[in-house]
Amino acid sequence: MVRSTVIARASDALPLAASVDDEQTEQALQEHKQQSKLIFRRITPNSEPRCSIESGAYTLHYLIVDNVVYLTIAEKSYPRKLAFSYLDELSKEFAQSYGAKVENVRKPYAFVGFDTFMSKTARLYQDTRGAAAESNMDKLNNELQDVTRIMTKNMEELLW
Amino acid sequence: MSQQNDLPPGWIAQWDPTHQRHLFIETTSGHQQWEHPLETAGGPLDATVAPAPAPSGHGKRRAYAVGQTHAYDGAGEVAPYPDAAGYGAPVQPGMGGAPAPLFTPGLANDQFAAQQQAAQGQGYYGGSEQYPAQQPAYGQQQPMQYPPVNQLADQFGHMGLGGQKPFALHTANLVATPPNPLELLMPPPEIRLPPGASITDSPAANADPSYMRSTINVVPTTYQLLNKSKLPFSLVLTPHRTLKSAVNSSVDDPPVPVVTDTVIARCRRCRSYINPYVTFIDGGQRWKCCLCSMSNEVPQMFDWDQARNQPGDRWSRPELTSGAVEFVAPTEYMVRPPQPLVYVFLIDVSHAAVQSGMVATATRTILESLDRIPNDDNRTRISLIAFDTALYFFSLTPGSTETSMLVVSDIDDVFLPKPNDQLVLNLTESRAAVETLLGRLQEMFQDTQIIGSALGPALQAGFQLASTTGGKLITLSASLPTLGVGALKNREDPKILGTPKESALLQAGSPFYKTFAIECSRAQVSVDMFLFAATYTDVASLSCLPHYTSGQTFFYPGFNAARSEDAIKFAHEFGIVLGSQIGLEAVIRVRASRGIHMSAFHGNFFVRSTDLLALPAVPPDQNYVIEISLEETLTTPFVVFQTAVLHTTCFGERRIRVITLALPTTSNISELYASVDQIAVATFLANKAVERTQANKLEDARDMVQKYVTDILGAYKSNMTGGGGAAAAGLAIPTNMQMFPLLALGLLKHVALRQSSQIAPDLRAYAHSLLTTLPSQTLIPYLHPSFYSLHDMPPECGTIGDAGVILPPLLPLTSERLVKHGLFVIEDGQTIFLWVGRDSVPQLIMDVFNLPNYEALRGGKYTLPILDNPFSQRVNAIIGKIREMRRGPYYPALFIVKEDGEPPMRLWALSALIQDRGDQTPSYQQWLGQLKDKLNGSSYN
Repeated sequence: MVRSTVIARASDALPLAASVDDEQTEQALQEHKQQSKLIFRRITPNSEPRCSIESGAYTLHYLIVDNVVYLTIAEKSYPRKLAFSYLDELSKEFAQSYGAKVENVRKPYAFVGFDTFMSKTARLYQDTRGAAAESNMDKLNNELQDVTRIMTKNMEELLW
Repeated sequence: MSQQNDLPPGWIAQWDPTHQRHLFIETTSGHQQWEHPLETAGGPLDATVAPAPAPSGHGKRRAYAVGQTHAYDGAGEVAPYPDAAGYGAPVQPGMGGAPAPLFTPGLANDQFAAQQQAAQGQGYYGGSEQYPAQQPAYGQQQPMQYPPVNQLADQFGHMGLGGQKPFALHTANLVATPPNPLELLMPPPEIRLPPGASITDSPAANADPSYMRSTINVVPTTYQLLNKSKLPFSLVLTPHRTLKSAVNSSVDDPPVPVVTDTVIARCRRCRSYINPYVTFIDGGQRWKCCLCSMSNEVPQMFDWDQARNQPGDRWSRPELTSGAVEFVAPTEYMVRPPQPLVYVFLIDVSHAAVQSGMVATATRTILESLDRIPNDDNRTRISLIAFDTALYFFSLTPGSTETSMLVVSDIDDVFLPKPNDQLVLNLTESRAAVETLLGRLQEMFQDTQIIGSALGPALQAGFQLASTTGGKLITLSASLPTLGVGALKNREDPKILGTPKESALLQAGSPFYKTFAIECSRAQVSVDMFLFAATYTDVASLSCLPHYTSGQTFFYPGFNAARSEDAIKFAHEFGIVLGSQIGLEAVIRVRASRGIHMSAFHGNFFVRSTDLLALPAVPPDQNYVIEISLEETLTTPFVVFQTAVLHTTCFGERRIRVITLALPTTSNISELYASVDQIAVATFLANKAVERTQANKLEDARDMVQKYVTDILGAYKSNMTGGGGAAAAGLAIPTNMQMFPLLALGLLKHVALRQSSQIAPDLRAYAHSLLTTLPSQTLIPYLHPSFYSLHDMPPECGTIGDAGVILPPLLPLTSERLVKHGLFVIEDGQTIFLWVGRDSVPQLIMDVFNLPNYEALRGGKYTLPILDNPFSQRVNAIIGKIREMRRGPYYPALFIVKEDGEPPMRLWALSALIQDRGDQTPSYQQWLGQLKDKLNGSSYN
């Protein structure tokens, strides 16, 4: 399942919105959150628009649309397709709600109110099994775009 | 203004806004003058009240006080208001009459000459209107009394004093000068910084004293000097205050300016924020820190207007012009994204709670306040747990009105029956369900017979819900916690009240509340306590939680919602707390120039490391006191104090509020005395006394207050008056501290500290919590109540003036002023007493209460009817004004006190008149006598 999500401006790594995580997640993902900050800083206009970065027990998936980076931290076993479908859904809603304002904000987490939508969407993607989830997933799978060309990197590669 | 009524026939007064004073015009001749006609004519009052000696020295300043005493004593000719619709004999305070000045030997000769010149000239505050006969309101200063700084400076300029202006110290003789309540409305002594101290010379370079004030407005250069003066040195802060103005109720104070471009210049060494007292060097490329003298680079974007994308004007940046400023913080100031506001309500639904109507009133208030809870970006979450001997959770479905109740009866090992996110819900999404639940809660438990309270386990459950994000536990409890962790025993024992053992009742009865509070503080959870109880509920233990988690305690003894006064008071205060814009996840740090250290901290917070104050929530209008010690000799002409509050607003923005205060230094003890802010000293003393009670005993706290007063008076006597001469006959004190001994006596007689075997420990404990949290504006009347006479008030009182409803003149706090046919108000910001004299004329009773006569009137809590007559409307306007004029959520209840009514009620009201002799406490005059004997008999000579 997706554990934590951050949305940042690609040009200067300014965080725009983030999921509100509980204490345990915060603790467990401490290191990975640091890594995500590093990723934001490394992103250039030439960066891959979609990328999954493996790091220990988790994978960091990110998607860049219109100068906005959507990054989520998910368990390694979590299907990549679903992760990107989730990010895609976020990007559409985010662009619709705040897209025009992104360039002009200066304060961090200016669109923190987006977390309500994020937590709702994350709940839909919570489980890949289970009866209730099944139909959700089926629906999602059908809607999935072609995500096979997503690049995969390793965190170590990125760091060195 | 009152000027209208004091005028002889044929004169009118016209307010001149440009000169900020009245212009007096004789209508027949058209003659105009600035001086009051009665005074220029050597008016009738002057002539009859006191055959005054020629005004000399600084007599002008005390003229009013003495004149007024004569009026109090009835010695003066009484000039009735020309058109007063009084119900009894109206009394007008006289003006004029000046006693011989006390020479202050500690002053240099030229300073004394300056005093005299000033007094003979215009008087210190410019013009004849320095103490208007009718002060409109507590804290409402008419601008004309205190001319702007430059005007004062002009006056000094005329006197030909070159260079730095000295502080003029005046000595008053306490024994001969009756206390004048108007003194409490004076602003603190002016802060006279050396010219050019502030780079922008902005008038707002030092923040308004309501944000941060110091007990002394001049800092001694050595600690020996401070020790010698015996003055306490502390900062009194209310960094997060509401904007309600103390001067004019119809306009708000200006908000704190906000720096939005996230460019924050801080000193590399001491981490202080850039402020109006730094200096720019190297052609403006670098700035020199005013706290530690470190040279720092000016940030690149400092002179760039990012909003318009063009070069900006550095000198208009708020951080360089304003002593109070707020920065929007960049990501470096965040450990996580800004948290949403989370409110968890813990509601007692035991038999006592339901029967008293608390549950119904509380749920209705929450329901009505849902729109006022800050929720701008729809992130606010709420949850509700009901408890008696078990815990009841409510799982709501967003978008529907369905709720299901889950009962957890295992209170030894509290667990959540459902995952967190199904119990804590987004207020916007689940609005319908929340409304249904609140509407039905009372009904669900209305026939409950369960007695007992598992408050501790409920708190633990609430903590589990809120701790994931941080938030606020709003606890409403109507009985003593009896089950699970945190169970308390009924410790109240009438036999030990008034004995040294009583103090133990004022300390926490169970260690749970402190350890749990620290756990909460760490998880950014704040606890508010609303306590309702017919009997003992151990406020001392329960208020520990708000104390360490920066919450608030409210106490409603004997609450019964069937009495509308009780319901209205609670609903009003609860509603304000719910709607207030709190800060979250905050830390406060106070920095100061080198050589100055913060040594102790008082207020509701947890001291995390040596000087970092942790506040999971920052409610508005909370007061904090910080004691200061001097550890090195100060060499700079002025020093700077800076308070920084890093917090998350309830709209999800991380901000830093920075309050900067610069004070000049001195090595002259008389300047030190002349700069004492008696309001701040009294605030400090109240906090210190409560701390002493909680750490030691009530007696120790009383002794400490007494010792502070004797030490200060003793030191003043030996340092400034040489211990002999004219001053030996009286008690010498600087005029700017004249009210301090009375405030200290008010503290000693306060329900929090008074020697008595009649005061319930709950009431004492609640008073302690108020004394340590009320900001000065509310605290001072709590120590020194306001006393007004209504039956003979001047005709404009109770009508709307320039600054809202006009209040009657303040009276000194002595029962000598009560008359048998009178109607009086005594109020301390928490309670309003309406005192009705036994010989009140039926017309008065009819007009105010709509009752035939005095006999038909009943004492106790009362709602004043609004009747169709001007007097009733004026009285209601005055009561309304008293209720809303101060900052803070409190809504004082009104009590009718009949002069021959029930003794406890009468004694309660009379205990507010602190100049009188009490059961075991001296009158003001007796107390001064005791102080004098102590000084003369001791080694202070």
